[in-house]
Amino acid sequence: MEQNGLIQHSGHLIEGHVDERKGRLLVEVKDDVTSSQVPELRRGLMQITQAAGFDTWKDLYLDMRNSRMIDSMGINWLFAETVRLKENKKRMVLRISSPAIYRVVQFAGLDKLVILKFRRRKQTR
Amino acid sequence: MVESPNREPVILVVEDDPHSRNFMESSLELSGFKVLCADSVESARELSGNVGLATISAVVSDYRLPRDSGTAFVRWVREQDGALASIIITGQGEKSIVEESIAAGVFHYLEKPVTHQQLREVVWSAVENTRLQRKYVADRKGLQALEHLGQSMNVVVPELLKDRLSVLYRPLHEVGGDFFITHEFGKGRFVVLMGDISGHDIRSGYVSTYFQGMFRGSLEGSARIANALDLFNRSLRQQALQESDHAESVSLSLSAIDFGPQDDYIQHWNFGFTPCQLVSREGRIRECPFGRFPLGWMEEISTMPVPIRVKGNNLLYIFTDGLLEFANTLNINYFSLLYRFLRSHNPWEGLQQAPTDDILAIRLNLIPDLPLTQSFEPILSEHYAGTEVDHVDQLQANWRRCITFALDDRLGDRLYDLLICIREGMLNALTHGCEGSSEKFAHLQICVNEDKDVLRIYIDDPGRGHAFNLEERLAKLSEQTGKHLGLGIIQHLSDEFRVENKGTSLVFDFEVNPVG
Repeated sequence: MEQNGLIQHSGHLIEGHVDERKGRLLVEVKDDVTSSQVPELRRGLMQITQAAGFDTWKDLYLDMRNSRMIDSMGINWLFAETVRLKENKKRMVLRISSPAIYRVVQFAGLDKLVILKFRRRKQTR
Repeated sequence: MVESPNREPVILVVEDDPHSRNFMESSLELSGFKVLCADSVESARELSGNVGLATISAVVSDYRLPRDSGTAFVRWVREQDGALASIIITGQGEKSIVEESIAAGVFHYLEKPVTHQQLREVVWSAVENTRLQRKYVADRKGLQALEHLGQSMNVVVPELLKDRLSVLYRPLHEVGGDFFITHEFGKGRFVVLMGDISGHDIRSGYVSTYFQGMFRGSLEGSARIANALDLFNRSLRQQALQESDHAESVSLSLSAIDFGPQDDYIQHWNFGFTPCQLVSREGRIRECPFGRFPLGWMEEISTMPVPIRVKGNNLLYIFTDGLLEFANTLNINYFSLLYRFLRSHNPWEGLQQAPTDDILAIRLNLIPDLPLTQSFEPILSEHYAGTEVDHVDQLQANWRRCITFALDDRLGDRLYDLLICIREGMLNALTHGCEGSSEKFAHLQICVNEDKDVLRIYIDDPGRGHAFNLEERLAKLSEQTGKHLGLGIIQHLSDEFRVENKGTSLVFDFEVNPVG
């Protein structure tokens, strides 16, 4: 199930591991959250949460600091994930550094459904 | 310098040993050379200065000389006259000297003892090499002079047009096949003509010069453009008939405009040129119709001009296919290239790739007194089939490349806001407007207005649009995950957003940082 702490799943756009001490499922997104990536991100996160189970963590920390952009498909995916987490009595913490993503997340109202941690970082990619 | 073929070639011999020097002098004189002798590097330099290195056809120098070596003298000779061939005489088996001599740029070396036969053959060969090198240098100088002439001829803009007309010109070789002519008929009426002779070689450059002369002469003689075009076509047809079967016949692609200060229409002739591009007051880009065949292809041609309406339009772009090819090489849109290059004093500096064809492009401001900065200038215009929806990431990478090439970092972090908006708009256009079909095309246009510091984006699709009022719906967008979230994102991220033509056109603006 886990190798070097990483939860195995298909695809390479996303990886995750559980921090049992802090009760967190840490998931890192490697690229932008746009229409082309969303199918793989959806599948990957589903596999990671299923593999991790729901017993050892309380919050899903979705680290999107590598992402520069999010589009409407990406927002739709995040909405769907927050609903799924809520059904399982979990919370989503969204870490972002791109002002462009911050603006879209705010506009879409997602900041009211997740805990948003935004620290601006100059985009280098 | 052009040497007289009847004069004996002059050889400078540098040798401190009197016996060897006498031998070489006699041997070379017997072989038909005139010989100058020096016994040291100092005296050889002095002698060269007195007679002039240009009069000498080869240098023969011993390596071992008092104070300075023979290779030091060869280095000095090459600095003064890179075409003059030198021969070094070394002792037997002095490999390091041979290597040093080669590094110094000697034409040949001979090991002692040197025979009469050896000396004669090597020196004749050196003399011939000097002759060829000097001819090459003279030819290059001549071509470079022609290049300067062509560069200056092809960017000359009449005083009255200087604020309105910008020219980008770069020939592939010293003599280009592209040309550009303006002629003033008085009272602010001008003809602007761009030509592109087939082929990229010096022959094309020669033919180009010939036609430039013909055209200038015709206009000076008050000939009508239509008559001049007819004359060009007949000349090219005659030339084609005279060519042998193996020779490629020459054709001329040509784009000409005739316009006056109060004209409602510009008269335009296009024979085989890429269609010219019109930019409206609001920054919409429209391609003019394709032209006729290049001159020289058909026996009979129509010389009727096609009118281009001036009203509502601010800019007209005309360019040769060399611009399109180079933009393809750089993997950017040709408008990005033009936007940046028409602003730069030395646009070619620092580019990793070189053009493969002559490049000639002009931008004409159609409104005489309107400063260029008040017009929207295009930096991208591309049509995408509905099937391109599957490659939106590649398209996005291309948009980013073009915007960055034209504007550098003037958008800062807002580049990503812009890319999100273009992506959303294009996904909407390709999916709904084009229905993912390979037969239907959406048009993306990006332009910039320097006075307003505004980047404007148009996305047009061929769909039927929608009956509802999208702006009202967007204003009431409470269900964010709904159908129009993408358009809502555009509205939120851009500075201005509107829909036109029942939603088949999206128009949005972004602020850009001022230049400098």
